[in-house]
Amino acid sequence: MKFRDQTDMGGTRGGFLTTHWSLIEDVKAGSDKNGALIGLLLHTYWKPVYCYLRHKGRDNEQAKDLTQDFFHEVVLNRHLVGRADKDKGQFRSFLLYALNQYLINRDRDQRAQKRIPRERLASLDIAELPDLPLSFAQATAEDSYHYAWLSALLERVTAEVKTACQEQGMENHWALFHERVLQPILGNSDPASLTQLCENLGIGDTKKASNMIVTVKRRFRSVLMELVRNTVVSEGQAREELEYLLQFLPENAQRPE
Amino acid sequence: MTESDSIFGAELDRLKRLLTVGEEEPDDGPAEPTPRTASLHILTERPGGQIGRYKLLNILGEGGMGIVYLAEQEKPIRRQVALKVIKPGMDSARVIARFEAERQALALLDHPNIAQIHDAGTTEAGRPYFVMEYVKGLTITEHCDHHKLTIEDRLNLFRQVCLAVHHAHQKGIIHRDIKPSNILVSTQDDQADPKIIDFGVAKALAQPLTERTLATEDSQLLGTPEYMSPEQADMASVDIDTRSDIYSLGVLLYALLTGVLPFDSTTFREGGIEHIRQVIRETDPKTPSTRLSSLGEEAKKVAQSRRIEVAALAKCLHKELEWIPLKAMRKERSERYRSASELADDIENYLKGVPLIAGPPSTVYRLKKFVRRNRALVTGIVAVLAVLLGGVVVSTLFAIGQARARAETQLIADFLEKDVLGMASRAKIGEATVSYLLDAASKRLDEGTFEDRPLIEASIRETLAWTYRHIGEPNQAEQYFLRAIEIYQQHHGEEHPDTLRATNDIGWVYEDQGRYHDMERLWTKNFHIRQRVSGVESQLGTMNCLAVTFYYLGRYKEAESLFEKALQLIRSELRGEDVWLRPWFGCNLARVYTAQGRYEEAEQLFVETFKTAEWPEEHISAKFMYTSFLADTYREQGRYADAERLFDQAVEALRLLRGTKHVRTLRSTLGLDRLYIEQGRFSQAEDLLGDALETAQAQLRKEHPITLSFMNSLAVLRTKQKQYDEAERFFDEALKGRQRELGDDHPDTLESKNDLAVLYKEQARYDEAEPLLLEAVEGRRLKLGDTHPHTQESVKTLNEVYKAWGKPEEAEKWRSTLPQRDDAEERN
Repeated sequence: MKFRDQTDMGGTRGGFLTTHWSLIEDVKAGSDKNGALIGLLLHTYWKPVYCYLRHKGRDNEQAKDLTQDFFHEVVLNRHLVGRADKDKGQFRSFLLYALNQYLINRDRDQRAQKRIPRERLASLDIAELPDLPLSFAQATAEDSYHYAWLSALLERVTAEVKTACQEQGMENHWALFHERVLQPILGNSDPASLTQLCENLGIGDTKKASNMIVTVKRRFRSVLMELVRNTVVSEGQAREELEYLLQFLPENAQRPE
Repeated sequence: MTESDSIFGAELDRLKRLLTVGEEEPDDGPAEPTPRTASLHILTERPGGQIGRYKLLNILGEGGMGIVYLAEQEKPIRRQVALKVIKPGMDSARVIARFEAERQALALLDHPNIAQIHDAGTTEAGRPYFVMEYVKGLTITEHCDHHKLTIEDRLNLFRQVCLAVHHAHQKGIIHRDIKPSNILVSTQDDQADPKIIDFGVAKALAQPLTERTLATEDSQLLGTPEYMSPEQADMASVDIDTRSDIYSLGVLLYALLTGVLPFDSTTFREGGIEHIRQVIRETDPKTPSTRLSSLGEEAKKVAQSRRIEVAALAKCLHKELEWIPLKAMRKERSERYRSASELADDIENYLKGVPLIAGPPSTVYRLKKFVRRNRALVTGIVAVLAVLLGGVVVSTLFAIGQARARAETQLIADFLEKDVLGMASRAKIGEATVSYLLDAASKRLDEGTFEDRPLIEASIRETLAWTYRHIGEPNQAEQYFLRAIEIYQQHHGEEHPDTLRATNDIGWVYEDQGRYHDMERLWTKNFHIRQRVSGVESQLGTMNCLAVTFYYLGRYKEAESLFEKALQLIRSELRGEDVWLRPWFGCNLARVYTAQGRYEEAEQLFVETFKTAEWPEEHISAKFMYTSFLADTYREQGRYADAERLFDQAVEALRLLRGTKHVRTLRSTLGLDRLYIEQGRFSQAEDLLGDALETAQAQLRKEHPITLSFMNSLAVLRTKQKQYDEAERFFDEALKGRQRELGDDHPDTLESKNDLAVLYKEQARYDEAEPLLLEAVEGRRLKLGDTHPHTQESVKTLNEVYKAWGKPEEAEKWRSTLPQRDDAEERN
């Protein structure tokens, strides 16, 4: 999956330094710039919503449309936002809650559609649809949602780390991490031999290479924490959130050795 | 690095491992132990790298599941190829199945216009790939526009594509995603060579395993909505066959011809997937010529990139060519071309100028559509026929008592089913046209099928008469009415309701035949008989008849007062059962207002009537006819944009509902030609008039008032084009015809006099213009009143004639009768 760094609506990464909750607070306060917010949310979170809808039985096009409409709804319909329970702390839960509310309202009242501007403020350009693993074929819609949430989060972390490496001239760091950690974990390939990698990349010794990998791993960790933090209210909740993500679907959860 | 680090699709445990990356990383120290196995291939699968014996040069494209590289092969020959490989992480069973399907599909194909597959294999990482011919070129639409290909060249190119698709079909492969971006055109030595490249969603007919993979596991809508056939859009249907591709080819042809898609993409996609599906399934696309005419300025560009004038393009589309894409795009698969090669043949037919397999959308087609939409209501052939023959049978029979009606309905139904349809073989029923059925029915009637039941025969003849009128054969209709009337008179006498009804109805045939004086005679007589027989109650219908007649005869005041009376009667609730006639009265009265130059009143009444009107399905064409009259009101007011929009709508609908030759269609185009002329759009006027006049002369008759109107318009056009001799000849014909047919003081005749005088004025033949204008002014004052814009127009022309003639006093005398100078000028 290729990560897109820009959205049409200018939802740059800089905008993500604030937490999503503060975005939502902005909406409540009426100080949002609708288009930008929708674009930002849509860009970052369409996949979980889309996967959820697919698992709820919507077909591809329906799910795409609903996803888009939903984000408009979340941002534009202040009532919905107003009812979101910030104390629960997770943006992930809020989004799912809001999505369910939206679906209920929509089913009950087809006119809901009329509230959404005909010209959508931010459009969803879905060229590549998210894939779910085969083991999710029988999963519930909620599980799919959480899975996609997690995947999107990790994809984002990966992309940010990669960009950061490249911007700082740490291409070799990234290459090492990519070959030795990322790809093997994802099951795409066996870890390349460190010696061979060193040779290819012109790195003096494997010790140095190992350290380079550790550097990227740490960075990966910190970006991950930062992004998780963005979706919750407090640091404590960030840990909880991470814990939750590690634990959901207990039957599938295999803690790393 | 690979260009993609896909997370989606990875198993959950792997994601969780990622979540813990760096979690307990010591500050320094080594990373994980180095495993024994090592591989670098992942690094090599990128531009600059290598897959198999192919050197990857750059990325050509990237889809959901695969990447296409431009690659170089060195041995045995050095050439550039396109290498398609599944993306890392995308190699799920489903994707591999689909990928494999495409590879197999391509391997089966061997056609110069289908990208050839050279090789296949798996990467070192175990992901399948295949190597195919690299097509260097533009998409077919880009190619055509870039090289400004003429219609003929486009058709030739398109024909090759059809034949290639046909080849695939013969191998049992349906492409399922035919669209411009999947057809590339390369050029070599000025030779354009189209190639179909993407069989990514192709379905192999004889490979059930693959089929299952695609159809059930993957509930995504495959294909591109704009090019998708109704059965593809209908996801419930797994029953996709080669005719789906024919549909897409139709859309492609549509786009190649007009530069736009049949359904406007923005509005099309606006309402989400359900809307898209509904449009694909239920909406008939506008004909290419209509679509073109609605493009406005854009149409010029479209025409330019085809090296043709807009009008000429519209004409060539309208004259037959557009039937081809429309047939290919029929909703009902059985009505499309039977194969891609048949489609190719029809392209060839067109290029050679021989008759096409495709025809204009017929009444039968429209009716079938109606039946399809109302399938629940309409079951069985008899019911289809009941619809076919209009509600007439039913309404006729309701008048004669329920029990008898049932018995007679049964008899008629039996007759239609056994005698008429029985004559057509089962296979032919689908293709039977209305006139075929009518002719079969008539034949059986003439053979004396109902000899012992003359009244049923009369009733069937009446029905047939209405049907003939409906399909635009008034002369046939007249014969049937006459015989029915004869039978009724014989058995019921003159004053029986059946006799009266049939006698009354034949008047509508006269209307189509333009026999306005006969209408008057007939309906006046009927009016009196009815008054004597049944009192006031049943007069509403006859009032409408008479009022319509007065309108045609140019007796607007009488028409107005009758319509107003009738409307009042309808409004008083006493006339409840006739309420359905209200839109007719309303629109007819509005039409009278227009004729009187009372445009605002007319518009108001039209709009009000349209707002509340419910047109029964079988009378829907009336709605469009009246729409064209409203359009003409706008034209009179100089509101050309409004007028044209409505005209287009109305004329297009009538063409579809009734055909181009139907009197109703012709009548509705009457104002459109004037609109073009008034706007100076002469070539469009020329095309329209040329066709209309020719059709009217052949289909109606030479002195039919409608024919004469076209003749008059053509003369006006020639005047504007300064082709004075021809103009004069046409005026002569129009004026004399109108005098004979309608009388010397009929508004139409006065129009001809006025217009001819304008011609004389242009030629400085003032002495000839003067008497004509004086007659026109006098006649129009009497018929239309002093303030009618047409009267004013004549006065103004007279004033100009005198001025140019050097008779300022006369000029001044006439100028003073004009209300406001600038008003008059505005109309010019």
